Amino acid sequence: MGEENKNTNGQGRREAVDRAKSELLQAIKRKDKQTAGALMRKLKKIFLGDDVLWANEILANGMVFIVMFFLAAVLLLTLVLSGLGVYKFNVAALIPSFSVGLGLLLAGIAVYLVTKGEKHWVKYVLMILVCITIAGVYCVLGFRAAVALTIPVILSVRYLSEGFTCVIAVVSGVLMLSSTVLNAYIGVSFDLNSIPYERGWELAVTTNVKDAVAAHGFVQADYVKNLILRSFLPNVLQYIVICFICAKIAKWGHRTVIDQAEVSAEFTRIDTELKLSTGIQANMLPNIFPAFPEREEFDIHASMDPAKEVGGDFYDFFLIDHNTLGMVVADVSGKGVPAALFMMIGKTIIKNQALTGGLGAAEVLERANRQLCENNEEGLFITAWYGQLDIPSGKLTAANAGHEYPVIMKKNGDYELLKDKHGFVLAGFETTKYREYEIQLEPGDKLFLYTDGVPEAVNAQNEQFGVARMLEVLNANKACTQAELLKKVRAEIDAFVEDTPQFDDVTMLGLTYLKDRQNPQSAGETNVV
Amino acid sequence: MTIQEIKENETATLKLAGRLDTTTSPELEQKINALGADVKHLVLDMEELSYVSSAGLRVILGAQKKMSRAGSLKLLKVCDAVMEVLEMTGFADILDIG
Repeated sequence: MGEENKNTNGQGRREAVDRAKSELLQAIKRKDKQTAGALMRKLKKIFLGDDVLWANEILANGMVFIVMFFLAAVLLLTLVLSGLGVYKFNVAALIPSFSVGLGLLLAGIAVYLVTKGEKHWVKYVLMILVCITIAGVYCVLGFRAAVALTIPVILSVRYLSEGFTCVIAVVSGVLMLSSTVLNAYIGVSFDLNSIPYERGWELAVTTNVKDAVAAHGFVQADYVKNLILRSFLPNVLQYIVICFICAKIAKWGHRTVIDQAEVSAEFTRIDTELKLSTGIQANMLPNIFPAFPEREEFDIHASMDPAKEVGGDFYDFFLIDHNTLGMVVADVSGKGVPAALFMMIGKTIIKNQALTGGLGAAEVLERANRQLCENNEEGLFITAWYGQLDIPSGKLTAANAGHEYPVIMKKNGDYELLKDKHGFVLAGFETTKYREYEIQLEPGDKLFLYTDGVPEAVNAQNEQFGVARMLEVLNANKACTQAELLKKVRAEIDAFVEDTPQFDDVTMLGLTYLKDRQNPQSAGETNVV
Repeated sequence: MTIQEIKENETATLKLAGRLDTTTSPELEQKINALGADVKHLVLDMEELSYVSSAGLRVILGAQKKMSRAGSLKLLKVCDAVMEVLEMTGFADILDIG
């Protein structure tokens, strides 16, 4: 599901998802609607609502845990540097506040380690401890608390909860005010801007600035009041803007995660349905071989491999009557579901027209074409080759509607392209006319039909398999049965493309004509007339 | 694929460059459907078009049906590879290719 977390909880959840998915597939196959419904709900719960953001919360707790370590390190470092004299703080006032801060951080770290961040109250405990730590330190250090206390608010965005960010914003804001007030009493720094001084004051600093000011009659309450009005309030306005932005980002993040989870669930559903459809489609094409075991006059084999779960190619063969074999190889424009749907229609219509009986190959295509033009608002079209073999005589009549050239091998010769006359594609124009042609097959002659997925198969260097290579493979395997031959062609294509994913549907049909028309007996067999 | 549109009186020329396949043909279809009723003649300049898939042929067929009612459709400077496809599928017989 594209998760980048290495959290064991995430992995366990992924496994639970996979299990639920396969259970769902089984349930659908058993046509058990009750179980499928319950499993669907289970999948939904994993993807939507609680579980998605709960996983996020656990990770967010982990992030706060790391931030706590960082804060503790900063506190320690400041203490050390101050002790060394790098910062000229009144260290006496510093140590208690820093120690308390470190203690709070350690408590938070302990809470996380014990619970592993997997309790709903942990986020509140951790974040509030961070707030108090920062506020405590700034009580003593200075009145810049507004800036430092935005740290917890920004950190809270990680939880992707607008409500939680608001809570932390309020807690942090209150601590900011109390920290500012406390600082006025115990702080190591002193904001000269907040003293209500008068003209003519001279400050002689012997001990510190605060004492120097006190010599002029310093009123603590006035100082506090001025501190809040002149220093704190402007900071609060900045603080509110920052909190607002953080809350909105959290809300947006929340919505995005939920949306993505829903999209994932939808994709899983569609993927499952498509996998089922592959099976349905495969069963629609004649796929039992040998196809006519009782007929020894010919050997026929065919295969269709869709590029995606469902394809737009098809083949078909059927006995129109005892002496006539009809064969179709066709390719619907496009790929995937739309082509697959039109493919089902095309196959049915062509076969129906052919089975009417007594029609020539061209007429079958013309009638099928007219029917296919109806209700074709999407403008799909089908290229097709249709042939009728008169079995006793070996006469093959065929017509081509914009499809690849067929390949014929005459006995003792090579497989060669037969450049037949091409009519326009099926389902294009109602008035399209087709021209049929005849080929006389002798016993031993072979026929090979295919769709453009064969010559147009590409490898990583973007080279095409090509008609030449296809003919080469065919001619290298003239003695094979049709089943073996098609397997060999497929193997050559696979070897050529290597790892490149299949781009187009690959469909092939092969026929060997065995019956001798001079002699009703097929070679070496006793004839039953 | 890029499409450059040039309009002159009642003739619109669309200069195509790249590949016309499943992902790019909707763009061409949209452009053709967006042509106003004042466009009587459509010319597809395919000099820089290297490949057309069946999805592309579908759009061209649609364009032929649409334009043959109002006026005409013409294909220009078709490369060999594309011409082969047009001949194979019988499109070469029903289109005006120059």
